[in-house]
Amino acid sequence: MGRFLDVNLTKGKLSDYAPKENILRMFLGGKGLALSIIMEHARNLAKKGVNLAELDPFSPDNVLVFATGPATGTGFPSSGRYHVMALKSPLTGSVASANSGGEWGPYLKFAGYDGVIIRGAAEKPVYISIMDGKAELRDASRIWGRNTFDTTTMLKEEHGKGDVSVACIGPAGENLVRFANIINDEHRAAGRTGVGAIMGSKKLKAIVAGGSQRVTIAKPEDFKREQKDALKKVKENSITGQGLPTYGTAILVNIIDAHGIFPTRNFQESVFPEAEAISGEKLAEKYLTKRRACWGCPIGCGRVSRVPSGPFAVEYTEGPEYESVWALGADCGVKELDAIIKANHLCDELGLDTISMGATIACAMELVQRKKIGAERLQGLKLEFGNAAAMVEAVWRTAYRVGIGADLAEGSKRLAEKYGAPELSMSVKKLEMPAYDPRGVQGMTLNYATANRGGCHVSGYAIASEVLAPQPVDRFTTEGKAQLVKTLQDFTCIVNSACVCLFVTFALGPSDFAKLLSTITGWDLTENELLKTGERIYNIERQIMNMIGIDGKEDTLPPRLLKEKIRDGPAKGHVSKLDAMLPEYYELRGWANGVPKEEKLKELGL
Amino acid sequence: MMLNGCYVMVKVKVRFYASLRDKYKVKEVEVDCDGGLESFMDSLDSKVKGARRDLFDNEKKSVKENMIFLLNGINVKNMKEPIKFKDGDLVSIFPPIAGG
Ligand code: SF4
Repeated sequence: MGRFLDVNLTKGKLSDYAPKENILRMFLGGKGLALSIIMEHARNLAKKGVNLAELDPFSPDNVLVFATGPATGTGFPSSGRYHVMALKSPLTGSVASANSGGEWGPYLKFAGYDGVIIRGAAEKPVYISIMDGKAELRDASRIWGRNTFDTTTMLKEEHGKGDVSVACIGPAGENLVRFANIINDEHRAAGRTGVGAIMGSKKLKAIVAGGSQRVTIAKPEDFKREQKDALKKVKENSITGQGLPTYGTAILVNIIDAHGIFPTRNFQESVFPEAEAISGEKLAEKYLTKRRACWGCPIGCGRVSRVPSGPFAVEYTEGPEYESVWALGADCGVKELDAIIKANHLCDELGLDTISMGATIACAMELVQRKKIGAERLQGLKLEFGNAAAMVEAVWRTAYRVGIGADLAEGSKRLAEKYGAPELSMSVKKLEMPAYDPRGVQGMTLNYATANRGGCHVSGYAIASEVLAPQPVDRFTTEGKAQLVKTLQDFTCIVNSACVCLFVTFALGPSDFAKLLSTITGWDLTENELLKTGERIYNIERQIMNMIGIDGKEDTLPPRLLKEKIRDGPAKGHVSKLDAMLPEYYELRGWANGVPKEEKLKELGL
Repeated sequence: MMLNGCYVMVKVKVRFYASLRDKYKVKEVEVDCDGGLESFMDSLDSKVKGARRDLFDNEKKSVKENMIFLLNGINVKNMKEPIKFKDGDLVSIFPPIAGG
């Protein structure tokens, strides 16, 4: 670990940056290391007198960091991942954060780099090529305007087909759609918080990586032994060994619906009567053609699907994942799985986050239902719950900012504000919430409210403990949830900083991570040190948010979830009881009103 | 279910998901039982061969550790009282699955 490519697009200058050993140990890699780089950048800006609260996320002063972790590309189970972070998200105005699988992370390492820092902005479209330790900026005018699939194909042809991997943006990123993503390897996405739009604002179309540099492992023999052990655990675990490989993530549709926490029609209901029609079982029966795993992943949850005929025909596509099925399906009241597959495909092709896209369309549909958006603005587009064709059309309209698409491109919060009903945006810190109604799972209530990046399920995936565990903790109680969520959030920071897939945590715990990471880094890492590192990473992210001006006021949920009871189904009558958990959570974190206290920062060496 | 000292049979709808559906080749069955878990399992087994062995822990007289068994959407492992089925209840049974 420790070689970053530092690119200043304004100056067209490329240099190497090597973080110090003590920084590496404090922040590990991936998300943690990216945050330490962003903190340094933020402090420098503040010194220059830049007001971070007012800094435009599309300004050249914003910084974007791609980072792999010590595990990436080593053969640690499911280690084909990388993390992307930025000082300011165009969607949330807070720290941007996204994670992706596929092959790009390992390929960046094979190219001889652990990460890439992007500063400034280019005048004309460019892309970065990193081949076997040599990096250069190249003209991207030929590929600017192209979708992600064509961009990937063209760059692969130019740089050597199977031996390179491409991470790029589509038209949505170029058009500064606030939730545009970065797509690598055609269908894998650094999905959330609009990192693709930041690339677009910097006129950076893609990063191509490839080569045959070795990934360093400090103790290769010990690593092999630990790796064998870990692989065995992953294979033998019923979820990572069977459930995920056989059905992929969409298998969650029925179980989440059966618990009565499957948000429907913009969280107006929590049971979707047509769940079966969009379930993982239905996907497998009708549209699945094969599986596709990310690099070095023994689980292989990825799906390849095909819609053979009809208006939503797609010859080859990947997914859709559970969250996408929900966002483009139940949340929009859409029960046609072929339309969902098509919309999901368009999101990959155009470079849009499926969760924010679906949830923003759902928000628009409720605004139409409540007569807040008038017919003249819709120009004939029937944005009504259940209208599959309108949902699909809204996707490309958003990417190109055409008609109502220009409003959708701003995300649900700005959309709902524009039409006079901000409370109808189902978002936290302006990031749209994913596919679990937190009113019926109190741990998710607390996680959604406190997750640093906003309405995010994977910051502290309490669903694993409250719904999917063999012996679940009671999902309706608030007791013990503060500790549960804090631990999950800290541990997830480790997972995203080591850069392995969160799904291995169904089989591997902190002690497995400590053993594996010790053999890779050569440090003697204990479980305790790791969890402390996770806590440090969570806190430095919060510290940067505080510098931007975000505090506990934003650790909350939309009023619908706090006040309106779930209307029907197994979780009927429940609301999100945030007040019963938040004070204890702050206490455990050593925070006051969402701000880490001096002594906590000191304890963590921040 | 006991009513005035007599057992009354109740009808319970059972839905299977994921690999259980593939294995049993059925999505939904209706089961008559006396309201207790063991009677439910016996009755289910008579309609879906092997279900009792897959789902019921004979020693603990409870639902098997690895199965997710919902009664009207509530996981029975979170219930304080022993399971009592009522007429018209819905049971949803899932093998270990995950996603996110
Ligand atoms: S479990 Fe799925 S998402 Fe995770 S690395 Fe493997 S294939 Fe990729």
